[in-house]
Amino acid sequence: MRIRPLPDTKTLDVRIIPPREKHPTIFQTFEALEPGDSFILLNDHDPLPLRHQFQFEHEDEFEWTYLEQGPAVWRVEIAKRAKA
Amino acid sequence: MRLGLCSGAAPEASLEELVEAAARRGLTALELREGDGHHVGVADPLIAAAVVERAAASGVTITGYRAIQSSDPRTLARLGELLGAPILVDGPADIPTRVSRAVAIRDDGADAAVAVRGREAVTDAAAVYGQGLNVAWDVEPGSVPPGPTVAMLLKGAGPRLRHIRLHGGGPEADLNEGKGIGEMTGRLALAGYAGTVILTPTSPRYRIAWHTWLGRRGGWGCGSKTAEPDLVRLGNPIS
Repeated sequence: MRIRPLPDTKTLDVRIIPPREKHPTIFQTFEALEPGDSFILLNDHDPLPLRHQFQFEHEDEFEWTYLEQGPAVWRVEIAKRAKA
Repeated sequence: MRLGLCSGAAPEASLEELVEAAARRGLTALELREGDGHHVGVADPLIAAAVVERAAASGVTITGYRAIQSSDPRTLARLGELLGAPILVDGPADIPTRVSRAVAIRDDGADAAVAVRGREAVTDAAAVYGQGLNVAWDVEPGSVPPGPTVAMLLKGAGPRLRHIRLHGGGPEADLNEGKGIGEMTGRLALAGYAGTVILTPTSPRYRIAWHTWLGRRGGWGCGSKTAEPDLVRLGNPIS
């Protein structure tokens, strides 16, 4: 399957991160975002456990948009909602 | 950021095999190291165009040619033009020599970067981007702290930090736990790093693990159940 090149944006490719550091890195990256900003998460499987963790820890603070769903790569745009 | 593969991960592999392995793992970049089994080199630069076409058909881009021998700069420049990729000047020569070679390649019309590594990476990088050249940083976790080092490189080199080669990703990722790869990756993301991160083995003794990893799809665990927040420190600024 042809993989489309990424646009020039904040991209967090967690495939190179040791497993136990992945979720901490993702959450710290999210917390460092300005409200209204986002990053693209790249992973080699559907990050559903991560989404559940976001819903538990950052309910109503984030937006989750799938940009690509396999078979080799999953891309999700995770945005920090702007403050009301 | 584009994740890719160095031909050093499978030094006997043909170009076809490298492209297939990269595509199978969802890697969109391929760095060709001089002397590996792909046989792309200065001896026959005209095959480079066919190489680029074959890789592109699988969604893989040749993002660099790592020159480790003292080949003629003009021939390397020609190879780089045909590949549509920068020549990454590496090898045992000192930084001033590598910078001179890269300047010569650039003056012959091709894109060039210079490899830096180890404890002198930040200092050497200054000598590189001071000549208007791009920086190719070789990361060996354990030899330097990747997180603070990448912060200093991004601060100094800015967009001239274009190539990063990570020793020990892929099937060796577990061995890098606690060595700062999470922090490095987070800092690259927040900086909007648009260059490449190329995976390569730390040692030939892991060749079987890499061969297996390249031959299959899928991950090696998301780590959600065993996450350890204390292993990552993105919040500490670099002075």
